[in-house]
Amino acid sequence: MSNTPSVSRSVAVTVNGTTYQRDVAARTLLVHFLRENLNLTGTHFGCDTGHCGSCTVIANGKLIKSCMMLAVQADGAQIETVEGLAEPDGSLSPLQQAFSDAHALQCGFCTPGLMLASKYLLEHNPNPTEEEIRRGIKGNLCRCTGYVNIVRAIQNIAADSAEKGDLVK
Amino acid sequence: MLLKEISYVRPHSIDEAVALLNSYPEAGILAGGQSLINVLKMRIGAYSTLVDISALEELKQIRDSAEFISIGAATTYDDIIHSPVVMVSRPILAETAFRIADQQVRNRGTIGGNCCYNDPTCHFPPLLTAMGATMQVYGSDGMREMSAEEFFVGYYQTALASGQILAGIRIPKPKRPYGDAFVPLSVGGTDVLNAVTVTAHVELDEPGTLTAVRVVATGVAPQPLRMTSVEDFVHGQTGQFSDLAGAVATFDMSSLEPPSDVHASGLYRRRMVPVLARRALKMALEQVRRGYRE
Amino acid sequence: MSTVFTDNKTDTIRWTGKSIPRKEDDRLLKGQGRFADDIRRHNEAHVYLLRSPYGHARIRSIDVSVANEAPGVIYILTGEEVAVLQKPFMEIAPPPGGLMEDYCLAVGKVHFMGEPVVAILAETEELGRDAADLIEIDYEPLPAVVDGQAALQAGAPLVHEEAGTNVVWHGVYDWGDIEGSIAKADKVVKIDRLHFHRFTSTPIECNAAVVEYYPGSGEYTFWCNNTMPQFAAMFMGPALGIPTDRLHFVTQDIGGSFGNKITTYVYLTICAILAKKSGRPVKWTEYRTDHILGGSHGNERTFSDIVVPVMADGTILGISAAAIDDAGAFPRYEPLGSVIWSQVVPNVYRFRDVRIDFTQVVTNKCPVGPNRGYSRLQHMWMVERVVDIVAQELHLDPVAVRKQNYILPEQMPYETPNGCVYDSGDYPRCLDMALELIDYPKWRERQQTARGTGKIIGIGIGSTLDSGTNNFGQARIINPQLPFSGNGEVSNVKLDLYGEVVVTIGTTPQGQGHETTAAQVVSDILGLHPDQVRVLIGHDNARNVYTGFSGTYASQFAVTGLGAVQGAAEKLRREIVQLAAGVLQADESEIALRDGSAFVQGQEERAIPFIGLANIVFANNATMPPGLDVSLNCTYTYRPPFKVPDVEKKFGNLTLTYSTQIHASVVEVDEETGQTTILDYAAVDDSGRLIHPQIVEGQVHGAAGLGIGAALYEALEYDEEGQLLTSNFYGYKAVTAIDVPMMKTAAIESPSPFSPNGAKGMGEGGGAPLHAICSALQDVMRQKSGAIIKDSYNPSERVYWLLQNAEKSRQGVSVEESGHGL
Repeated sequence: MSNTPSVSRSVAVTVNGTTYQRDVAARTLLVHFLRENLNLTGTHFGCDTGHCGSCTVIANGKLIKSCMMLAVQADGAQIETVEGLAEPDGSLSPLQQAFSDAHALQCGFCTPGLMLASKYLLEHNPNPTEEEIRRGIKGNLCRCTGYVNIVRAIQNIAADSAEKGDLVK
Repeated sequence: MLLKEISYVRPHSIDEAVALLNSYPEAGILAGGQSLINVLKMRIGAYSTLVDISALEELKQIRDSAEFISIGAATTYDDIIHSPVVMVSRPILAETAFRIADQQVRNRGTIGGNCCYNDPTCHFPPLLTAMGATMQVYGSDGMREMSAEEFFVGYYQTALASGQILAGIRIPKPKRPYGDAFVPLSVGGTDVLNAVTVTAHVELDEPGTLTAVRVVATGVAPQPLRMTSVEDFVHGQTGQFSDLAGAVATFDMSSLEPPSDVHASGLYRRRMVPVLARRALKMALEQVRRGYRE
Repeated sequence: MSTVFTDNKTDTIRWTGKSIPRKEDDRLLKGQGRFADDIRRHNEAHVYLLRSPYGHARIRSIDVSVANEAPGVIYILTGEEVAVLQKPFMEIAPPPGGLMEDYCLAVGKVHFMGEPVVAILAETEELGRDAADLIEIDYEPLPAVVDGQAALQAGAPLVHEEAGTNVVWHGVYDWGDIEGSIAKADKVVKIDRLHFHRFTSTPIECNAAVVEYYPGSGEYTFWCNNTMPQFAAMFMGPALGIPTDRLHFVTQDIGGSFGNKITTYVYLTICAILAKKSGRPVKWTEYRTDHILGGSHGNERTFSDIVVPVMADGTILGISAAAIDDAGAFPRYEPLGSVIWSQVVPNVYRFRDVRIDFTQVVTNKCPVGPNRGYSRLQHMWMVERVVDIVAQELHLDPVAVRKQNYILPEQMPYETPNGCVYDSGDYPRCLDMALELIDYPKWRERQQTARGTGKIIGIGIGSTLDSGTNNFGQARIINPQLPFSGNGEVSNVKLDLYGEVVVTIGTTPQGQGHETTAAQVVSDILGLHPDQVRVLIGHDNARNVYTGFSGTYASQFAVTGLGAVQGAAEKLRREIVQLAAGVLQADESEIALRDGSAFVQGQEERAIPFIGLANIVFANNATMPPGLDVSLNCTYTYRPPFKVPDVEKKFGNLTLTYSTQIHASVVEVDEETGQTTILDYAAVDDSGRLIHPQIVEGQVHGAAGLGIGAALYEALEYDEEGQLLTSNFYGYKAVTAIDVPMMKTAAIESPSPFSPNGAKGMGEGGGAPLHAICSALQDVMRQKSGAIIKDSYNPSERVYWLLQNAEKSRQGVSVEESGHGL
């Protein structure tokens, strides 16, 4: 058999456009890989059962929880994390700005995951209803905001892009 | 969050996956991982090798034929939700998948994983049972088929033998007006945890009588439970049938010994079965009468 | 009394009161926040804690010999060694609670499921976890006690044999004349039992720390997310046998706390011991299951024998009740909760005669700690339940009963029966606004039309206070020997070498936006734009800006924190003006400040920028105008005007400010399943003068969100053996975005006459959603079975059984004619 199981592997993972080649243990979760091996500490974790969504990233265009995936499974993947959200000149993206304007973050711990969930939602549904927004961020727990201003931030950005007639980046 | 040391392999074909399973006795299948990785985090699983089938395209296809929809076991919930085939032929699959967890989990979790995990709160075991689905099991001796009822044998248990993989699921396409309804009782909030579910399926035959009736409850028995007395009562009635309470009353609730846990008491679960059964039948019958599903 | 607002020479107020963009947002939105687990130290080692699987068990033996040889293991610490290295932590309680011995690891026996038993230091987290699997512990399971009332019964298992009882603290609070009011009442309503359940706020960031020991100075540094570090120091210094100045705490961004991160000193002590033992920086990362098992739970409280004298018109004269507060296995922050509730004895009502027989006990459950609304929400929930039950049983309108009994705005400031002074507020107006926001008459109509549809609509009200800025003198009511009173916070505002304005505070913000609001206050005083003011992140006692009370808890920053910032900024302003007047050869009264310059009013060419002033003081002081003594580095301690309470009478002003929250909820209950859906929700708050309205509204949303979760979905449930059945987010169903409604909010501003800026502390809320939802469910039951809502936690199943069978809940609830006595 050409393929044998191994306890560690060499992986190439592209995060926010940069490709990282690393040896990683098979038991390492993607979230730990991002935080510990790549020092991308903007991706957080707040539980150990895949409920809180703080570790949410986009992998190969799909919104996922990085604590529910092994780092070895990300071999060859394209990953987007919070560190890649801002504009190239460092200014806030419209989504980040909408979160700030609506006071959609307090402690800011769940915020990276929530912004990625929002980005994914708006990419797939640029004009969501309130119900669709709430469904879209259901996998992300926030204990500070009661979700009210997060929903508003997403509504605001959807309304803005509708006005401008462009899709959310 | 800290897994035991584990070996990992990514086979290139289902045959290779089966070969790996048979070569490494403590090997297990990793598909979407949305249950398995949690089990590994808690270090309660016995696996020392993971065979990752999540990238096997041959297991991720949704195929349409005259009689069936075939769904590969590694197809994600999100792919089912967005499948035009599903939307046209059996939309209940998408509606039910949409209730599972959240977007992130739906993007990785698979229908096969849902079936193989067979937690009593899972969505697909009762739905597939009510739909009369066929489970396609692949092993070193090739493909074998069994009914969903044969497949789901007990709490967290399926008829899969070691060295076998659930490869796909075949779901019949009714040729006459039909109704499908999945009614969960979620505790802890909306679509959080299904304490009890009832799924109903009915079809209307040419003379205008109800047939192929299936009513399936979960959360009250080790496996998806066919409420056969209800099915029998409804079978052969006209499309205008409305005595839901009478139909449900035929079922002997006292025979149920549902589990009590922190989510719900056994007694409450038992009380919810007739309520959800009436609601599921009502929804399914409305669809039949309309002749289509909305 | 503080001396703020003495300097009126500020430019017009430009920033305070406006919702400016938060200074914190940019880094948090980019993933550049620095949370405790983001800290890395060279050569760090990792702590893994092996925790008790039992609620109560004797430890017969622990065998670490195999684990010691496992790959990557550096050191293994057990209770046996801890008992030598650590003195038991200080207890706040006098005996018997004060006799209970608390160590950082279990010594001799385990007292709750999740108690740390062995600490493994290893090269990586995974290797520590692997080694834990190799440790053999022989436990002898003991009977557990998991209920507060059961803990008091003769023969109950003792959580702490050394104390000889499960009682932490007992006291009778008796104000006014409850017997007299029972004798003169038209009716007496009796309720046998009300139960406030155990839940917690589960900040999404769990606890974490990196701890390093420097043998050269004997100093420990804690990069951590503890939210009351100097309180931790008071416990840790004596426990480790070292002066508190050797404990250096550094906090940065903190991912929520809600009080839950106050008592982490237990874990920090484990890390300190391991750091010294190993000579390595040690890192501890807590995951969710650890946090729910062994973090900090909210106080569970059972009220019994509730007696309420009432006049025929619905006027409530008083309340008599017994309260049993379940503190879990170790007191820690307790028994402060046994007095803190008395900040709000009558809640928002005028009744004067109150007797509460209060007992706090230990049980084989996770220790409690402050949790949003700490200790007051339990009491106010009881009072709100009493109001609704009185209304139902006397066939009165719950809205009318509230209005009949509310303290009125013209009575403000209002002294409560125990000497607390409610500073300001207008409760009837807040209630009217809340009812208007939900369109109360519409829902009363809809309630009628819903009949027979299988859906029942209920409307409920929660009226609460958020008492902020504690007088820590109330601790003496618990233990007269405690040398605590008053409160305070420190700030330093300075010019740096090039004239930069830098603000330091002793607080530990977790999302409350302290950097922003402090900058607003300083900007107004120094004539700057908030972008020109840098506020340092978090608490660092090496900055030398703190009191023993420093931290972020108990709804006090707007008063204590901003009071300190204001005082320090005004001191700096005076120095800037003095120096500028000397340099510009003008009278101090002629100097104004704008955009980082001091100038002579009307002659703006006579100006000197802050950089010039800083240069004179820091690098060019031979040019200092003669006779001046300025440092441009100004520290101010804000001290609220408190006296020591009368310990005998349990009387005195326990809190400086009282924010109001009046919430109205509309729920719909599915009659067949008991499932509750919130149809409408309004929150009206009065937090005095608002510094940043958007931040205040955000706090209101957050407190409401947590309260809604606790009311319907979230509970920490133990079985009889002390197994926690809801130890992760599968079991503990933290509320999701789908189930919190788009609540409506409104605010009024009744400035506090007592705070330096008219603001009132806020943020905790008073648990108003628990009250409002219970109230709405009571309204549902009134239409159906007449059942009584006796628990603060009402999941679908409980509501279902209440609809099915009212009898059980109605037992023990009665209305008697007057004059029967207690």
